[in-house]
Amino acid sequence: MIKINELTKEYYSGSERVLAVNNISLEIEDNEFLTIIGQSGSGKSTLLTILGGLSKPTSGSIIVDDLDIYSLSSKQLARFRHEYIGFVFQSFQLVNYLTVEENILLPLSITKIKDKAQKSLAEKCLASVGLAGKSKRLMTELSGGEQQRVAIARALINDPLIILADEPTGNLDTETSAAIMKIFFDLKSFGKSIVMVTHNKDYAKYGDSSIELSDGKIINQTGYTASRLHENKAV
Amino acid sequence: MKLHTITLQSIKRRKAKSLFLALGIILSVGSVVTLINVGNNVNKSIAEHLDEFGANIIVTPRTDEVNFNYAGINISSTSYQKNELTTDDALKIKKIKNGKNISVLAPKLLNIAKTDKGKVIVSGVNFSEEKRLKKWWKLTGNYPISKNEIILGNLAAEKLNLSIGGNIEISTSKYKITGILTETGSQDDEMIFMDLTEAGILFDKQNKVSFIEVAALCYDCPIEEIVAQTSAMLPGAKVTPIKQAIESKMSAIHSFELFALGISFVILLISILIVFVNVNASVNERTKEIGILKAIGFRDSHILKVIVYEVAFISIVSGFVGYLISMPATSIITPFLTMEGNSSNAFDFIYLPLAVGISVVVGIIAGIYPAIRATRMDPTVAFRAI
Repeated sequence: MIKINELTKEYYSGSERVLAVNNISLEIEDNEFLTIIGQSGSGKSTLLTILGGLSKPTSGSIIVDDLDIYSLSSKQLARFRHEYIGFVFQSFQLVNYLTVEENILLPLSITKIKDKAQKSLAEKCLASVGLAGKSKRLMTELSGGEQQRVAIARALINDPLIILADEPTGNLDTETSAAIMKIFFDLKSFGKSIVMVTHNKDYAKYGDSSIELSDGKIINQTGYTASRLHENKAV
Repeated sequence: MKLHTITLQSIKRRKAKSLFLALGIILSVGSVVTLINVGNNVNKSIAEHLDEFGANIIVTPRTDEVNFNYAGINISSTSYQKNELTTDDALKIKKIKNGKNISVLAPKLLNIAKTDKGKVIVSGVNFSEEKRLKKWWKLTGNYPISKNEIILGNLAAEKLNLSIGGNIEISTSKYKITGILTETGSQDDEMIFMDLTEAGILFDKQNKVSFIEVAALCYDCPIEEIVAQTSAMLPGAKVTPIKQAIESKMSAIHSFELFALGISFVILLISILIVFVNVNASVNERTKEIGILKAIGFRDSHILKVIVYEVAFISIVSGFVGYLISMPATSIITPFLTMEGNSSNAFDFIYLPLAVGISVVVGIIAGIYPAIRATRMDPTVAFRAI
């Protein structure tokens, strides 16, 4: 379970103080698919980066499996990201000079897992996203949809508990987007918790629950009980 | 898939950038190794040629007092000499460990002689060695070819009123003058030179020598060693290095070394700047990639390794290529800078570790700051859409 407690993130743009995330509290259950919707600049991606241990909040805490992740050292936080989190980005963020297989295996390059076992895992992940047989291709040889599938496979390779996706369909056409959303929906059956940021309200239906952000605050939520959306002063 | 896979694939698939980085290192390492190699060849050449300009070691018998001397060598019959040198002693010097580094061995027997025209210093010499030792001698006439022929210093000729073709009686023997030295500005101008063996007979000092002048300089071993070896070989002799001569020779050699060192330093500095700019630009270009790596759990040390491995790998290969280029370059350049006008084409493997070492040091010095900067990059850049 992920507990977000009174989370605030502020930064300065020149001399102007910006509240990207404004006192948000909520809980995400294991194996839950949460979608976060909102307009550009509403704080969706910032919340995701804080959840992923990439950006320290100004105040508040994130508790994952009883672990306050921002009390960890930078080394421990990197390990947390490696073991708990799988990221999927809007622009795929694949390494262009690596092949499909090498991109997928990136998270395993810092482990002691043998090459043979790594390749076997890569094959399974590729098959699960429908890219079997394309392991030796370079990114330039793939369509946008295929690249996003590679990114999803990379997020799954080290079997993380949480998948954080930042507008994974943002750069894709409607048909490909639907196929990618189906993959995310299917991931639930592998026991993953999924947090997906999107500005497309239609995709919120894939999730178990959804929150809508505006100016860093939760302004709407579906699928939440009062106890799960615990004391949120901003609402 | 290991960290080095990222390094190798980055180099392989970003060929132009890797090549440009390598080229910067290859050219600088190649230039520096060539400069060092050529420098060594030139030093050897200078050392070999400087050897030809006079003695740098004097071997004398141990004496108690100095009355009448030539260049500090006691030749007075009134002085008491505990030991005397012989022609065999001169030959022994050739047998020291560094005997091959002795280019000229010129024994001399000095004596004040009464002639029919006054007193004069006579020097018994081995003319063939003397000619090699004193390249500055210019002789009017010819060198003696028989034992009753002599040559004179120009002042001696003037003082004794003698000319080429004339005769002089020394003690009871007559000698023919075959040549007169042009002015040297040294004590040689006032002397008579005759064959060493003949002088021994004339002065009743057969096989005896007053002192031995030695021209030796070994580029890769100190002159002090030759002095020590000679002293050990001739315990009854005093072996003195002529400090001024040695220092001027070594100074000539070291001045070229300093020049080469200075140029090498500038080349390496420029190379470090080129590599730094290149790696820094590469890190900037890879900001998103570094963000991704951090997002998927790479620690700072992993990011550092990815960058450093890449620079180190390119540096090692560049060092090797720089070495391969420097060897023929040395062969081409050396003849223009040495007096011999030729050089060996053989690859000297001593310079391989030097080339690779310089290359890696340049790469690491230039690459470490950009690599550290990469570890401090904000990983959230990976979330920004292109």
